[in-house]
Amino acid sequence: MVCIRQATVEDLLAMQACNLLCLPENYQMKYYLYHILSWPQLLFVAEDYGGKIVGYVLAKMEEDASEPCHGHITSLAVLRTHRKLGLATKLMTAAQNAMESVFGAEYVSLHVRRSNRAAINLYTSTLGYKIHDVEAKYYADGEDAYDMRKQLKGRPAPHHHGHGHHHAGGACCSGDAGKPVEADTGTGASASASAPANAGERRAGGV
Amino acid sequence: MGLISLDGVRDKNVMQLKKLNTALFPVRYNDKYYADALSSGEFTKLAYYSDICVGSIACRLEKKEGGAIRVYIMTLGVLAPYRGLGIGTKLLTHVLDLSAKQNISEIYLHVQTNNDDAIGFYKKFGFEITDTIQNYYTNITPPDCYVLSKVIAQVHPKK
Amino acid sequence: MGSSLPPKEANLFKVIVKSYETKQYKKGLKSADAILRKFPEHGETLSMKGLILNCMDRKSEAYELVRRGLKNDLKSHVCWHVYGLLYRSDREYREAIKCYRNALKIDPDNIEILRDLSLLQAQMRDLTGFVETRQQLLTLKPNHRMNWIGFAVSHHLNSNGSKAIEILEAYEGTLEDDYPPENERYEHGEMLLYKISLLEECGRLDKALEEMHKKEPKIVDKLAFKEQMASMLANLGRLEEGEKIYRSLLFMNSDNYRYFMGLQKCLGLYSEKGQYTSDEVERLGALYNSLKEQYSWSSAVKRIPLDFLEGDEFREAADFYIRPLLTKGVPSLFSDLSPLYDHPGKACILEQLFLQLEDSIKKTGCFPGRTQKEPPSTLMWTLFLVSQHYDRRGQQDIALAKIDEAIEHTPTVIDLYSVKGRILEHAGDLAAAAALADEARSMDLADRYLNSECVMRMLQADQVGLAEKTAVLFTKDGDQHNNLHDMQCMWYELASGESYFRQGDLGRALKMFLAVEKHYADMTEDQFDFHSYCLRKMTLRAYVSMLKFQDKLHSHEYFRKAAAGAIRCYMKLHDSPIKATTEEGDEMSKLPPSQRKKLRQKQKKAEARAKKEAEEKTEEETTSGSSKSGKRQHARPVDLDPHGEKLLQVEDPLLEATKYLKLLQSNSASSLETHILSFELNMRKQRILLAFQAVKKLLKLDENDPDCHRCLIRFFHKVSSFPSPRTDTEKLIWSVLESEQPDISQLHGKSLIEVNRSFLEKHKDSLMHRAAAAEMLLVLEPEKKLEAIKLIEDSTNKLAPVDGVLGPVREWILDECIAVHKLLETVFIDKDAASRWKARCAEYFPYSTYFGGCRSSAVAYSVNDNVQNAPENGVLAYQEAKNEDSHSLNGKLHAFKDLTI
Repeated sequence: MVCIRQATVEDLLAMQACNLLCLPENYQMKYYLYHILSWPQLLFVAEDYGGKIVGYVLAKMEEDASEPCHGHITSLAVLRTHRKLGLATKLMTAAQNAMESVFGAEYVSLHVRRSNRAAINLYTSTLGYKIHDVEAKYYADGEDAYDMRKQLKGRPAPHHHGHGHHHAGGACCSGDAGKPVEADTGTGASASASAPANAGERRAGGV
Repeated sequence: MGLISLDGVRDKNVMQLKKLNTALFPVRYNDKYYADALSSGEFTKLAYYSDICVGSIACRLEKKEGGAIRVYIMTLGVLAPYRGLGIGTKLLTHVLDLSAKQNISEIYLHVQTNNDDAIGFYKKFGFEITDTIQNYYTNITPPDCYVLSKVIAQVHPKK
Repeated sequence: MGSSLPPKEANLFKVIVKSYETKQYKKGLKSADAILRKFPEHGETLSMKGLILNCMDRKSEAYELVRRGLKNDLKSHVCWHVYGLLYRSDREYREAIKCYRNALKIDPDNIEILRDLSLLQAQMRDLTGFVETRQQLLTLKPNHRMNWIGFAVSHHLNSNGSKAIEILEAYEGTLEDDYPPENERYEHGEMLLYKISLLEECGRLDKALEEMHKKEPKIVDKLAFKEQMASMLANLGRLEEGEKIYRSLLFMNSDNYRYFMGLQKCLGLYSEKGQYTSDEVERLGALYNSLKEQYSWSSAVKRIPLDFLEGDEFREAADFYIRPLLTKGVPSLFSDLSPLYDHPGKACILEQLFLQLEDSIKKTGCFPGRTQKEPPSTLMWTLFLVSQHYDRRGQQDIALAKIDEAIEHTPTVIDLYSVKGRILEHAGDLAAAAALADEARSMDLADRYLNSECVMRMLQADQVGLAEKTAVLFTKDGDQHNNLHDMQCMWYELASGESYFRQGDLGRALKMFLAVEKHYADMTEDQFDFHSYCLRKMTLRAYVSMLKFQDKLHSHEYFRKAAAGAIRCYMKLHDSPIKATTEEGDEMSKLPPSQRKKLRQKQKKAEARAKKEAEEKTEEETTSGSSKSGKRQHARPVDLDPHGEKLLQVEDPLLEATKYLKLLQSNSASSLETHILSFELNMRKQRILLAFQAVKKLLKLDENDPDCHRCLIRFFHKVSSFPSPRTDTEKLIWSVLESEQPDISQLHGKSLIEVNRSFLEKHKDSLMHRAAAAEMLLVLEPEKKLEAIKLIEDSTNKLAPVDGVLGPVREWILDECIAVHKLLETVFIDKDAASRWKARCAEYFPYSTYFGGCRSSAVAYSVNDNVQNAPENGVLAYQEAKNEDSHSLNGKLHAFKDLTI
């Protein structure tokens, strides 16, 4: 039996270790910190009966105000030893639900290697994703990515009307309007991401 | 899709085919065998039984004089515990259907003369013994083999 | 800023500041140079120019300019601020704080500087200073939300939760009733949840609950809301309400173990140690039976009862749990069950159950008592399970027989090879284990997990070069050879470091260990940007937990191992210093002085060239911008010391080691290893009192540990050999030791020889304790060497008190026997005894390459079993085999191709 629960900061080192064991796309610790300190609701782990992290999902909200509010799966991994338990599905479902209920995401997107048939199969037939676009040479080794998307129901319309914001569940695009934001003199204000967001390379090809 | 599914052979998983061949056949195949199998594309397949690789069909596409292509089945096999589940049939049917679709009219293979089960199996699919080659094998008895062939009826594209 | 300049230049100065903020460094530089042409000694311009050059990686120029600027204008807060920023960029936070403070003396209400100061204070955990600065910021700008929140958080961090709550409530008081607007609902909800967690932390649970009810509509994160509510209700003893919420949480996610435990707590059925009365077990059984009906798909409801059930009920529940997972083929089944092996008696029940299942499937194709045929794969998965069971029990011969049977059944299942490799590792054949892992890897080259596992096994087998080649298949990054270091792949660095250490390559080992240490320093650094970011994002609960996590970051396992590894390297370096260091050194010593000088100059030039190239490359990369995918292109300096040779040239290795020891002492004080290292290090440094401290800590942690016993004896034996004290310091040390010695109960009224004897008496059945006592006997009475060796050789490898169905289990552990062998070889320096020991252990551990066991790959360099297997030429099998084919070996499995002996 494997426990599916929200990740805490304490889990990040184990999540990074799990990522490095399984996937060719890796990130520095700061990128994990950036995720959990921006959207703590969107990280989940699968923990085995001995307390070991055997899978995780790392997700975020896209904060580009020109697009509808939506989430993105940055990375999903399950140890090979723990396949056939449906963990990837459970992790994805948990992250998607949180995007929808907490941030009012209208849809969720992810990238997957074109050759990764196992993952594509999971996303399309089990989780209801559709191929939205192809991003040529998205990966470092030159492989194309599918940009896949799944429609969510979105958060029910807000109780208050008349604030005139550009879309209903706009929580995810806040951080700009009408509130003081401290300017920053030294290094960049926000934690900069160290690598592109890729998802679902459960069987991603080596270079 | 059921419990049985087929998947292609690629550089990354060709070892699965090698493992199967080691378990199934008393000979070791050379690089040419695997190169032919890989380049035959959809004509070489692995069969999976609930995510376990249990059988394979490996073909070579041969150019005849005049440019027509015929299919030579190099190997077809299913691991012993997984026989009788229709996996061999599924593999062979796949190749027969694919040949028909690509307007390939001839398909053939060699089989040891005493392998009655195999001969019976292929006959069910319309293969016939068209030749006997003496001393085809070096290390096994009997060393003779039959050539089994089948002519495939062309699929006429619907208009 | 720039006030002393005429209007035109003052404007140019503004351009510099703006360019700096927008990272348009070239533009900024141009403007600075324009001012400096007219006013070459203008302090603030010099400073700003230096700051910009710093961003362009021209460090030494930067410091020079900034210092000159400051010298020219000591009264400028800009110059001081810039100096602080420069230090900050070099992580010299204490210096930076001093500069900011000087700047603030000149301009006390400068918000920007105050804010920068507050970030440094948070980073350095100068919490009183942090509170002061945040208070000042709030006073200056009370209309900024962030200043309220920052003030509250500073008090919370400074252990004043109730003050933090007050501030948050005051802040809420400034808000309109209809706050928040739609686009700030998330942030506001986070603030409320933070406040509620503060109330809980302060023990004001009633108030927290009241607040939750009142603010529920404004809290967006409903999951956090429910989880917090449930746990507070449980803690308040409002169990029925708590139960209700836990049940609704289970409805949302019946795979969360913690919800089940919460529910048990609310029903009064929870024990930390899992110990229950028979009445409780009955009630728990009933609870889970009812949950099973509700959540039939949840594996948790079936697995959890295995923890509390016993005897026949356990057996029945385990059977019920295991069967469907074998049918389905769940590879992690054994690891899921393995915690049960620590429960007395359950391993035996499981063994009988497994064997019964295996037997039934083999004979009938069905599970016992069933008529429905199992799929063919069930037998293979059952053998897989049985094999891991025997491995766990230390019966590797049976484990290998079972896994081979599974491989023969279905040779394409990769997991079988991985597990076989693991069994061989446990059995002591590391080379064969690596070969197996490589075979598993070859079966799916697209799977990085298999690659990682293989790399790990290769490192364990000390095949470092091969391991790196294999790892690189997945870690090429553009033109970069591998990105393992950049991506903080610490397991790899640790395992390589340990392998290099085993092979005596201290330079490379140190390089790896220090690389891991560097990752932790970087992670500490990583938090810097988030001090302001989280106040804006309002992710305060996550922020505070991140700070707590950072505070104990260095207690993490990987750091502990890396620091311990580095300390061992430095001690080894101290014990046997590298003479002329490198081969070149040797060469050099042969040369006449004049040529030697030339050679040195040549080397220096080459180094300088390499450094320059590295810098140029860096510049190129920083200017070439980021790639299409948004990946940050890291400036990659050329590694000037790829083999860690420079690391070996430290002046005082023990001083270096002390740095890492301090980190261990403050972060891993409960680990025996920390104090053993402290003992070893301080004995070498002749720091008697510190070594004594280590001995006391060790005795407190575990007086029965063989290593603790060694330290105790060695310490007092050493002390007794000292001449009587002469200097004041020596007298002081003596008096401390004399006054503290009575606290050590082991020593009461006994000589060290007697202490050692009673230790042996107390632990005479344990090999490792006997070995320790023997070693100490040798230390105390060197003439009794033979007696000491006899102590070791008289140890008996007893049968373990478990009734295995298939053959006996012995007690001794391979690693311990290897340690004993090394002891005989290197401490007792007795070849005969060592080889007797080796021969004896070769029988206990037939797969061990170390002992040259008869079944290890070191002895039986046999062809892979699989190749020898009689081929099954079955119904559907037929073959094509031309003459040349049948002689070809290309299809040969390469299980042992990488084997090195």
